[in-house]
Amino acid sequence: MEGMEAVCFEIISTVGAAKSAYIGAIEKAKTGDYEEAAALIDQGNEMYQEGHTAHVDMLQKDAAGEQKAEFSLLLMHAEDQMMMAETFRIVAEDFIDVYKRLTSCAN
Amino acid sequence: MKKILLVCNAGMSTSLLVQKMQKVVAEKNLDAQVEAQPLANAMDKIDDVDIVLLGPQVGFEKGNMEKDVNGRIPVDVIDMRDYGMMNAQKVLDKAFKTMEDFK
Repeated sequence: MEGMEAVCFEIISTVGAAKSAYIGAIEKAKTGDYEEAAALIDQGNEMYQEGHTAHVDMLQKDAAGEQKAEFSLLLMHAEDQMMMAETFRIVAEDFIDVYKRLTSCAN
Repeated sequence: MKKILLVCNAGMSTSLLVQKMQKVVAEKNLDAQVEAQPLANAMDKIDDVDIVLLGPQVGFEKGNMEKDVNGRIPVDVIDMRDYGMMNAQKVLDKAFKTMEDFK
């Protein structure tokens, strides 16, 4: 796998895994396992950071004229997955809060 | 003949992995068939296969998928690094091991 394709796959796999972790965190909060939910958010953040680093690297190389970030469907998919992961992190953090409040209201 | 189903969001990233896995299957003469489906179509295929492998970006669907297959076959999430590097050999090896351990 060469250049752009490899970068895209690195981004897709890492931020994709982050997205799944964030969604998993909501599921854990739903069942009251807030510790595990927090752990999943942390894991998600670590994985997202890897993808983000690869993305920044790609942008810098493109700006420096080292490796042009050519448009491709795969790149678009990678960007899309990144935005989705970030969105889910924001949503997950809030949902965990909501579930905590629901539980304390119920008690 | 082991039938392996790869599932992801749109089918873009897994279709490349499937191609590489099919290449390994052909080269090593393995008794396996690998196909990829987007999440939306996966339900139609789960009854025909021996294992479902989820891409990391749809790993959160593991619980639902396990309910849908009703314990008949294993459901696994592909390792993030194996997926990112498109390491077809590793994904295949793990799939076979998972199917073996599931029995």
